[in-house]
Amino acid sequence: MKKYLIVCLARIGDILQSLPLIQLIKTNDPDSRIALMVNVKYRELTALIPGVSECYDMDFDYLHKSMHAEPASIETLYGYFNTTFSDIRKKKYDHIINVTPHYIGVYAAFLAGAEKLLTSDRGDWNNFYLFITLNWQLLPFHLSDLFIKIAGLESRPNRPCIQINNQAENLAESFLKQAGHDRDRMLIGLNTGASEIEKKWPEEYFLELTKLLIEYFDCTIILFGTRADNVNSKKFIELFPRNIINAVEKTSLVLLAALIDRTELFITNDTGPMHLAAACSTRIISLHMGKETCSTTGPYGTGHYAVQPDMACHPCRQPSSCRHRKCSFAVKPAVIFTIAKTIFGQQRAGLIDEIAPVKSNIYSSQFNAAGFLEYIPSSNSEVAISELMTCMLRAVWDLTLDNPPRSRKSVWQREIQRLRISCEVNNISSIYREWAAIEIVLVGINTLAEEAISLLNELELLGHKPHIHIERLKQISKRLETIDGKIYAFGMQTEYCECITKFFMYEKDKIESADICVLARKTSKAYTLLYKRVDFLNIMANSFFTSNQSTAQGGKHEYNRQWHDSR
Amino acid sequence: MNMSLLETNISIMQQRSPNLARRLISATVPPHCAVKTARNGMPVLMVDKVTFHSQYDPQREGERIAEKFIDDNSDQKMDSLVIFGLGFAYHISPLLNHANKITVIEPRLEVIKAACEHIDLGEVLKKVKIVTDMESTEPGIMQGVFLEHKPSVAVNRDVYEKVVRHINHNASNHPFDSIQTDAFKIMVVSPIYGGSLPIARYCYEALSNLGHDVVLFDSSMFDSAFQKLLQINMSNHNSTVLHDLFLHLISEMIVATCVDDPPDIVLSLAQAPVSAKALERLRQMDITTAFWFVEDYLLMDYWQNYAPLYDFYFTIQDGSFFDELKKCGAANYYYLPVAAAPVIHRTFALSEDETRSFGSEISFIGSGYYNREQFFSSLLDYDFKIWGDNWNQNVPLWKHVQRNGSRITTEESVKIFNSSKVNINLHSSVCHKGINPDGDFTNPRTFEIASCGAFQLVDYRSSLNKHFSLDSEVVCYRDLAELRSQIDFFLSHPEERLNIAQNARNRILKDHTYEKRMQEMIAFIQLRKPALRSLQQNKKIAIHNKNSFCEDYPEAIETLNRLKPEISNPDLDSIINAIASKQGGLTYPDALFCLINEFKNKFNQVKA
Repeated sequence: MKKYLIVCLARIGDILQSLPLIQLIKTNDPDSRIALMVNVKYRELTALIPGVSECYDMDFDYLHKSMHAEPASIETLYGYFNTTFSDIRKKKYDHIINVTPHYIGVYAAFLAGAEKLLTSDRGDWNNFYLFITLNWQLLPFHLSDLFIKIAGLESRPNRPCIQINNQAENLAESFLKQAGHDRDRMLIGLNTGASEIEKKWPEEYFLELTKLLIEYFDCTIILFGTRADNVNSKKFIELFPRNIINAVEKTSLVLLAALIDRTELFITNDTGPMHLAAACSTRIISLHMGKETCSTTGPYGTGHYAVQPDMACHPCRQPSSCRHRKCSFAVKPAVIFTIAKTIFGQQRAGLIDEIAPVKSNIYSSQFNAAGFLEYIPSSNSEVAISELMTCMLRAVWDLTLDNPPRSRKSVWQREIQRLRISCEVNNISSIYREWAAIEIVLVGINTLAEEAISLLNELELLGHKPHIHIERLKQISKRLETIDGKIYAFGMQTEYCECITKFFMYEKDKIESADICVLARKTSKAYTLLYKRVDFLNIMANSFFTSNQSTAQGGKHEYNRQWHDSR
Repeated sequence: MNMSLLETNISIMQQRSPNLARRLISATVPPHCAVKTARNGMPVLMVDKVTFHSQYDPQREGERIAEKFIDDNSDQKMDSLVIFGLGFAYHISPLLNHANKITVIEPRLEVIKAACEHIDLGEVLKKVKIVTDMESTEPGIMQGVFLEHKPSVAVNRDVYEKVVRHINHNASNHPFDSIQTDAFKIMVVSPIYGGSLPIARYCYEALSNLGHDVVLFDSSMFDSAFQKLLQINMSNHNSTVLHDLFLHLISEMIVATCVDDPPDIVLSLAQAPVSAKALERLRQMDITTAFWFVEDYLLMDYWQNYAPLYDFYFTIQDGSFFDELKKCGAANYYYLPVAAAPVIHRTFALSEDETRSFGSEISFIGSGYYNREQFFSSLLDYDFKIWGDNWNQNVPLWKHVQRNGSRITTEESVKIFNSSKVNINLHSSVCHKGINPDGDFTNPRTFEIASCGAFQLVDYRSSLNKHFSLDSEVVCYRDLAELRSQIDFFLSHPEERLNIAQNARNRILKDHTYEKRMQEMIAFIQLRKPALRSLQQNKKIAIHNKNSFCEDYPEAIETLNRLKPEISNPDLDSIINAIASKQGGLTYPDALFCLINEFKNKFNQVKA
């Protein structure tokens, strides 16, 4: 029986996004014992997660108070952590997985016993995650899939689920009864709040949508949120007194889950309750604004709809400095209403394509051949360079970060083909033009990487000699410095190379050794990996552009048919 | 009102303070002194809407104040106590058995009377000496450990400051000299150019010397760009817009710097490019702002818009300027004259070449203001060298202007002061033909020449005798005839010159350095804003007892050994720095300290 500890010291959403990982561990190893480490505020939630046998909590409020006490003493804090981690270390966990998106999790995992986590200079998923926590916008995976990879497992189609016990169901039933809900009426959940202002769809849009939904479906709308979200439930109740149930600030996490489970559709900003709905198998329409994107934090599982603003600045890189927040207003209520009608079969599926939403992109979730969750555009849009590059970058990371490496090239080739057959000829030419610019950058990077590798080989040889040739050593190191500068400059020319270049720099910076030969060897490996990643991109692009033309033309129709059948 | 209480209290008081008792009998309690009842039924005083004690349990609050006071002063001998503020004595009763001698300063008779009417002060009055006016008290009565009753301070701010000055007075003219202030993180913002630019640098140096953590935002780095902007030919409107944009950009940079690394105090010198919007942002960030207006308020009027926006406004003029500041809504203003930096303004042995080049019988350094041009035209028969810019080239005086009227550096000015037999100092004016008869403030040059151990003749200013002994430390002239006769006299009496110059330098070293001024400034800020605690200090998380920590957690010794042994209370930042600079992987205690640090950063981010 193996023991797993998952360190998740982030918010509800992050805990819920580790559900697919927990389920996968349990599927692969039913006898395993899984413990979670969470903020004590969310301990209640862990009781809903099947397969979790133990929970360690960290009292963030206590830590906050201790740090702001006068005087704040290290004695108190050190003592608190030492007691916590001494207990955990005694359990000797076989696998400690950190899914906390900041260094708190890294140090916590280290202190719990995962001591290699901080010392590894090998390019693996753990390192990639640490890098990503500093560069979220460069993540080409869904976070749940990344968690699975961090744990060293293989992604596969999977739907998160939580267990709502009878007691919680009864609570929800009596809550709805008390609110006068007619069981025959359709129940739709609206989660209008969000922790950050840039994630919020405007309240007046929610009001407008509520009107549309009530008029069309004669449904009951249940409002969720907290006072902190500034949800003004009064307005909704004043306007639609017969159809609104106000659950704002009235639920525990367990009751929230049980109520969401009762809804037939959950319309939400990108928040913790959205992930809770995904784990309740409720159909979801999610809105992703600001820095959020459905491809990384959308509801996990198939059949969900996600809507994003179609704006050049989305996803936002600096939400806190944005003054206009136009993205919040880009997606109109009519778009969400149309999707809702489609979901309930009141609208033929193709209409989403026809409404050609202005300033919004509609996506639908499905798993790809490699087992990763993808959000595919539902509207009538052609494959864009961004989709091709995202797919290829996923492949690059999947092929180069696994340890030990797995050969999944054929899987990714299939994925590329799938994209290829959905393309019109004209579209291919336009993608090719954009690719050509990227290719120039990639060639530039690889030429430099090759030169660096050869210099480092020479450096290693120099290191073996009894007398070090200081002058040559200086020359090499100076040249390497120049090469790095050029690689970085090349990489920053296109957003698609940014991740590879920055991760290379991140990995290289971590290399340490007092022995020049070891240092040269490790650094050479980093350049080799860079070369390999760039090369993979080239190979895959080659395969995309040189596929049989007729397949492509005929494939479009076939792809569309499969796509609609899959729903 | 309880008459029997009042009578009992007054009869006890008569034995100890008969005069006060007599005054109390005739005193009345005006309507602004209200007495409320606390939740526990005890009376609570309210003066000018300031509640003097807890409205829930004033006795418990008084006990807590006393406990904290005893705890804070556990290292001091409690023979004598000086308490500012009687209130209803809830904070005094618990201290009666902790000191042999207790003096209570209560400036308001009405408060004492109200206390006598509502509280049984029997025990207090037997032990305590109450004074209303410290001027008439016997010597030594103000000596002892000092406790301030905060609400009493709030309604008697002026008297309180006077008391603090009195208590700290130690043969110095500077009331705040001996006050221990906290060490703060301070940003000094200089102007882009001009007379207050070097003063900003002196402030920076002085604050650093006083142990504060200081950064200088040196706006002069934008000088060349700013000058270029002024040279571009364009319409007045465009010029104003660009000028404003440029200053706005610098202002935003100042705010951005504060966001990245927030100081406790931002001190701007006159003409510093800090906009009203920036001041608002700094206020939102809980940063204290101060401005040192080292200019003549009658000549420069921008203070009207800015003085109310700063938390503290320091001026080189008082009197009617204070009335104006009060009118325009400035909250805390304080008279703070300029000074000298003796490290820079020093006595200097010049080479022969330098003496030839910089020396003369009489000299003047400064810009060619109207009054100077007029006045100096009558001194052209002397060996007179004039240094500085903006002099009129079309008058006979121009022949005496050195280096074609180019600007003089600070180092050059020190050489000139040192090599001139008589340094003429004439305060600028744009509307007088010579001396401004109503001139009040003393210019930096007066202090700088004195600090150089050089001799000067300075036009009379009403503030001069506050800073120097006239005739023995500086010599003043009131008109041209007097100046000429003084020049003649002192040129022929070199020993007199040297004595006076030496006295002046000694006075500077004693009373007029920028260190003294900055000490005074920070003490005033802390006095007026007692809640101001160093943000950095608040953030410090430290080991409070290293020895017992090492006993409890021996595994951490290796990590702590990387710190300097003399650090007895290592803070988290220094521990993290030591960990970061070590070779090899992290140990368990290293990671534990790092985790604490990560939490600290996270919580600070959330706050931001």
